[in-house]
Amino acid sequence: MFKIIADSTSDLPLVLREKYDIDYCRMSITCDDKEYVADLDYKEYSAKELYDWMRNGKRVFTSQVADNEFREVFKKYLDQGIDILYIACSSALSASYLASLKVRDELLALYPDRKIICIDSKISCIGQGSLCIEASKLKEQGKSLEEVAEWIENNKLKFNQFATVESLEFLKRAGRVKASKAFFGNLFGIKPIIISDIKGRNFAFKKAKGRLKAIDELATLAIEAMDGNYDQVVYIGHADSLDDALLIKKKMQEKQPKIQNFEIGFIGPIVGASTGPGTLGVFVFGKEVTLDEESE
Amino acid sequence: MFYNSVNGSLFKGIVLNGYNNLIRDMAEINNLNVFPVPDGDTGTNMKKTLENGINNLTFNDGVEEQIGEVSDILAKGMLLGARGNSGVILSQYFKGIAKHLVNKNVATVNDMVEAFIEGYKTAYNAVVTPTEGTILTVAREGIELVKNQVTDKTSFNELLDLMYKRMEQSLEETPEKLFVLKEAGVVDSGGAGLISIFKGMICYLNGEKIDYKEDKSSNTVTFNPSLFNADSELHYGYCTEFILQLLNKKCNPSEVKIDDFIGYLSTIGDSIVAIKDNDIIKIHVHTKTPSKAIEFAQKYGEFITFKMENMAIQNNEVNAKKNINKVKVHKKTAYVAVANGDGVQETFKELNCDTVLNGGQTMNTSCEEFIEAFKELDADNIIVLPNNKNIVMAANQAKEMYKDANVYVIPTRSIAEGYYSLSMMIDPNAEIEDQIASMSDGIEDFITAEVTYSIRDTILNGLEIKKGNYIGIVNHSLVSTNEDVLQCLKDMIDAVPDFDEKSIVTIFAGQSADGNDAVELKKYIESKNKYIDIGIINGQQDVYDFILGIC
Repeated sequence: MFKIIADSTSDLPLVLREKYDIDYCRMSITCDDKEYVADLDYKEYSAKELYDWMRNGKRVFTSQVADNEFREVFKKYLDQGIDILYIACSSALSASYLASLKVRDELLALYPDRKIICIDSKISCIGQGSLCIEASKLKEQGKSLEEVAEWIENNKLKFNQFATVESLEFLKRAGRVKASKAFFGNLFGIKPIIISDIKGRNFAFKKAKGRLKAIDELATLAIEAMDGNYDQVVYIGHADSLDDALLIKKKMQEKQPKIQNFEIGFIGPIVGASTGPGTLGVFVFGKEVTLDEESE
Repeated sequence: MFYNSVNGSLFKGIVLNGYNNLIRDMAEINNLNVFPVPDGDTGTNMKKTLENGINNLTFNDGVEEQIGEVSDILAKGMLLGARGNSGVILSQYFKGIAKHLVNKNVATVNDMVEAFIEGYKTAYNAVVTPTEGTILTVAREGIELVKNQVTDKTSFNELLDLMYKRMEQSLEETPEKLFVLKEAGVVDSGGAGLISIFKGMICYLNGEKIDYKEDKSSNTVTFNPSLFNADSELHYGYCTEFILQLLNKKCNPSEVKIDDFIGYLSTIGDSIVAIKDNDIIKIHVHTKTPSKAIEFAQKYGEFITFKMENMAIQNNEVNAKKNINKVKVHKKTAYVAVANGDGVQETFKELNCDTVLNGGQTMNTSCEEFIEAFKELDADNIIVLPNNKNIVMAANQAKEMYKDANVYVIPTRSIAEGYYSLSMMIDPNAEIEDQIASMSDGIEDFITAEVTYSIRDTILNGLEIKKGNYIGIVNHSLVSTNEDVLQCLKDMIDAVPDFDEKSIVTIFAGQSADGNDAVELKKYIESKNKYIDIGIINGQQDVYDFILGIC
């Protein structure tokens, strides 16, 4: 028996976590000197409230999963004789993965009969979430912890992210985007197209003229990356911009009517705090999207 | 968590945390004064010095990842910002660290040991007569007396812990080495500052980010009259900060949009920070006309606090920075644009333009001026962005005559087109064919709309125009006229073909523009097209009150 555990950047809502039997480790956010749990069910504050803070110019800071949170969540299962598969936020974006390794070693010494596997997902947001869901489906099929972990390692780069943000300000402040100098400066209306690259970084590789064109571009890129697997569930995350998420869905269906299954949800507090209100992301499974720039 | 190597972003992170911790300890460090009067400024000086380095870094955030580069940018900023004895020593310390880390992507723990050694040696060398019992001693002993304990297995965390403990001991011993300290019953303030920075760095490694709230009220501004006198000109404007209480009498506080403040302030200044917290608005802006900010704010409420400072007091460092930028660097591709208006020119430079020639409608740039500008550059390729038709011709002629680089002219016919072209750049160092393609992509559909005033009575395009009235021009043809500039702008927008299919409007507010009109125009455009993105730039161009780029 093993439990699949994600963290706050996986953006898995309660329904999906229950359906796929996934738990998660909480990160935290700070706004106006007040610390809040980065809770994916928005108990302390609503998603709208969070994004309104940011719209009004307030800064929201994020913190990685604390060692103790790892300990508590992992122990809860280890105590019941359940092994752990932790699928972490990309290590290029959060230090949680590295921190989990230390806790893993510490707990393995205490629970010598148990197994803990930590995986650097190299992606975040619902892209990380959908990796967890795939892991859960494999577990249901009776695959062992090692088998599932191996599959995730071998396939994680096939989970693709295509995202755009309203304003690059938030990503710049959070230092969580890799982009050439040409993405900085007073750019109005020009929207970056951001993928998760091989190193798990958010990489701004393209510019679109305005929000609508960016949305159209996301749809096109996502369909291409699906590589013919049109019966999968396409996950769309939005930071309080549901209309735009629905528009992506519409565009994708117009371009490729075979795509039928969509899951639309809020981008959670951690990803949202570093990308800003209005962020939109499409996550699909298919071919590995690589870039020439990666030869650097 | 434990780090066995240090990359650029980790270095950035620890230094920033060190800086924040220094601010927290600043008052205490200031009080470590050998003279029993409250004029100690060591903490402040060290903070300001480090701050200048940090500001240099923040500007480059997200671009540099290599520790060599990050430490170099930090050190350069600190050298420029260095003030006070301890500040100068601190900047030299970081200069030495950067010197050792140059060209490194990541540093091992041993690299860091060597870097800290190089750091204190550089600091010692910078002082004419090094005094023991000061920050120098703390920096030296902090590494020299622990380096033998470092093995291949030592993590960076452990190294800093070792150093910190040793430094604390050295600090305790400073009164033994320096009599004036013993007499005053204090430890060395510079050494305390260095330790405070190290403390912050260690906290970062332990996952504890230090948040600080600087108590600005206790900061007394030292005014240096030599920096602004009877012959001075106001180049930098005023750093203006205020907290505004929104009043029910004047507005509906919950309906007030922070965007409107940003929009208006964009027409009178830059470096804007705007925060709305329920019925309170906090503003920071650099502007030459703070009266306009006051007037605008009072339409919504009244001030709780208001602070204004002439930025000329800080302009020494700004000037020094400008000179450094003038060093000729070889580039694959350089960018030359023509524009008028201080704000437009600055915006272009921000968007990677190497040279912005002053010119336009009333003063066409000559072929010779282009060639002179090319000669100042050292590049394989030069991309030229003119701002009107006549200048396109001169640029093409210069292209034919200039042989030391491949010159490419993108035939942009307005500053709005030039801005658009620069903003579509993906990477300043992209292959030239790709670059030309991305910078000219969509330019044929780009629309420039401008508003100015008529210099005589006339009839054009069936419109009867009175002298002094505003006229709206879309792609060089006259489409609207009115005595009211806002109405003229709205009519002009109505005349833009397929406006509901457009995505972006960039508004350049000219010297004689009223920011309120820019805000109203923005609202009007939003009412016509939900998906449009609108940006306002304080262009300060002459002749045209407003220039709009639409695509």
